[in-house]
Amino acid sequence: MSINVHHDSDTDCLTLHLGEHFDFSMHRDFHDACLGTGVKARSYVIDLGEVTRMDSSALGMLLLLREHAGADRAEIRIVNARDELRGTLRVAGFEKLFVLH
Amino acid sequence: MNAILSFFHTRHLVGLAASAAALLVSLLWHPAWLAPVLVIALAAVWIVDARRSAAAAEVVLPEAVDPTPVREALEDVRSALVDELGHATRELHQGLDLLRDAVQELGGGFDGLSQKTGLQQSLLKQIIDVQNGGVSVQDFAARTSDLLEHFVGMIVQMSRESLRIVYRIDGMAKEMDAVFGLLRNVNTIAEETNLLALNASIEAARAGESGRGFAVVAGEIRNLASNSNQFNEQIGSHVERARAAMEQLRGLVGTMASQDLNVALSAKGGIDAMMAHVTESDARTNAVADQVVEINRGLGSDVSTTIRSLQFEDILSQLLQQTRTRLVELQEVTADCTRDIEELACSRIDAEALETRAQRVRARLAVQREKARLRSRGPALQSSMDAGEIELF
Repeated sequence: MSINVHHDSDTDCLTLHLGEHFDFSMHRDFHDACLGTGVKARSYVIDLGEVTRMDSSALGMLLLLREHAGADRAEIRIVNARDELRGTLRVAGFEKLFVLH
Repeated sequence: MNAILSFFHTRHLVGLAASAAALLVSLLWHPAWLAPVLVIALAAVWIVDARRSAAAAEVVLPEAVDPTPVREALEDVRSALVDELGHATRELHQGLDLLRDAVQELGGGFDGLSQKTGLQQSLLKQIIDVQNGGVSVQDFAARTSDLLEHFVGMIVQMSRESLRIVYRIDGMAKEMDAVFGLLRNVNTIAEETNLLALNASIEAARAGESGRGFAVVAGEIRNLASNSNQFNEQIGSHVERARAAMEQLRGLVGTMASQDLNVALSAKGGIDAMMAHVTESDARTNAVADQVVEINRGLGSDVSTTIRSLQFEDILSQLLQQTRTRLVELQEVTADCTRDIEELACSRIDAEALETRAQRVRARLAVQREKARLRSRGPALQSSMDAGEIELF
């Protein structure tokens, strides 16, 4: 599985460690990990530390997660993104929708 | 020794030497006060000389000495002094004219410079205004950047919707799988029905003649089971095709969802670099323009200071005019006094007349001195050109 999911039950925080390619091939895993469960965590952490390539479907998935987590009330942090990914996220205006670390 | 003394007495050599020295001094040195001083000194020397020579003439030479050479010498001195003073007056006048012309031209030149500086300043202001008011490269870059962000936003939205569709398709595929499962159940029922019908027909055959009708019903049921099987297979193949089509659709939508954002990213980088460059170059241009405006302002103030300084012409003109008046008066005084001194020196007159003449010369000089005193007390001349006040006399 190219996504590692870790749920901290104390803080109700769902952490997703994504694999090297965060793209369409991952959509089903992503869905199963956080969208399809029907359960909402209080907060989410998306760890992009290992990701080297990311396309628009990855951003689409993140937007769907945001909708799933309650849109403006969602608390989603994107961490460990390398500079070029950070640039992509910024061009897409994600720094207004997510917390970029 | 006596002969030499009498020669000095009769020829008035002391007076002549003093006159020559005075002439030399007045030619070499031109302060306004020198002329009256020289005239007074000369008059005194001549009076003393004449008296001494008269006494000598009385004592040593009782006969009257021919006064013509003295008269001529005095005449020469007077005409030399008067001519020189006249020259000085004319030169002063000429200088005054030259000064006035030069100052006028300088003033005109600086006025032109001032106007052109003003024009330059207003043109520069226009350029700056146009630069600030019009559509700048910065605006263009900002708009392009906005457009790019909008474009990227649209792509991401499209990806999101595509993913939503894909998830829906996945959901439908699950439903399809459920239909497949149900179909398998239907198949089992058909097979069991078939088996049941077979058993029924066997039982009918064992019953013989009485079971014939039952055998017909069992055959019909077998037919039904077989038909049902055929329908099942048909439905199964349709569902299979639908699943394949959905899989295809899923692939297509997936392709739509996976757009490469690197092009947009590098374009964004290019625009950012351009923006930074334009901002820097704008800042540099503004700094230079500010500097030029500052220089122009300094130039304008320099020019106005210079124009103000040209007032020195007024003051200088006043001074020179005054000097000229003094020279003209000196000319008159010189003429009058030398004439009297000539009379004193050359005419044979008694002591009383001598005293009267001397009195007259002194009185004339006193009048001149008084005039000079009054003039120096008169309206004060401006002595400096400070602080932009323009005083006109």
